[in-house]
Amino acid sequence: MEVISMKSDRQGSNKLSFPWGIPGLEDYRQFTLTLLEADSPYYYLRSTDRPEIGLLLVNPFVLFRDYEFDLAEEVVAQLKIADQGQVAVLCAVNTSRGLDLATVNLLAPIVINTQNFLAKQVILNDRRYSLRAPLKINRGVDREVG
Amino acid sequence: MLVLARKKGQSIMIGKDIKILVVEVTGETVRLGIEAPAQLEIFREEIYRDLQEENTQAITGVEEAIRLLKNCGKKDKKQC
Repeated sequence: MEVISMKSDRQGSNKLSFPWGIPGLEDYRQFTLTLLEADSPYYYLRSTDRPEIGLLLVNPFVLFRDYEFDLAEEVVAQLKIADQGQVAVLCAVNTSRGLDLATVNLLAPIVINTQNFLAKQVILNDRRYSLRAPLKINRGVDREVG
Repeated sequence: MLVLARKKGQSIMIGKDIKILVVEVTGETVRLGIEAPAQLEIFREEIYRDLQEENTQAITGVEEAIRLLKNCGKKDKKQC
């Protein structure tokens, strides 16, 4: 579950479909996911219809090494996940208060089936995690793993 | 809104597949047990509303953050 590998187009982008919408952004279902740059844990998720609507995502396992959760059966079925190897997990980063005060949404990770590109933001029933976990942007740590 | 009074151990049914049981009542807190088909998502209302707000807020400032993060990668930059 830690490594995200997806077949990408030349720009390194993937088209993701969120059939159940993203809470708060329900009007948009089709998104383009782009790795920010090589070896970065960050991704840019932009609405295909409205590119100005976008979220910064991060591979949570790079920044929060103990992060783990069980994927609910209904999500496995909804995303048509046949094998754990086809699952990727990214979390939204809130930088609206600036990069120094950035937070990561660990309570509602975005789960992606990397084979069919179905994706869903899942709300965990897990008291360990918060919608706004402080993110320390630290170049050394962030870039240790790609 | 339909309002029903229930005691500890009593349930209500919503349709024939969804059962909500009053497990425990302590002061102002009611613990509920919910049996429902797996495809139904169940979550605390305030968490869902919170998430909507969080996502709506998180779309602000993304481009600026990305510009800064990309600069982080360049060794001579000192922003990070």
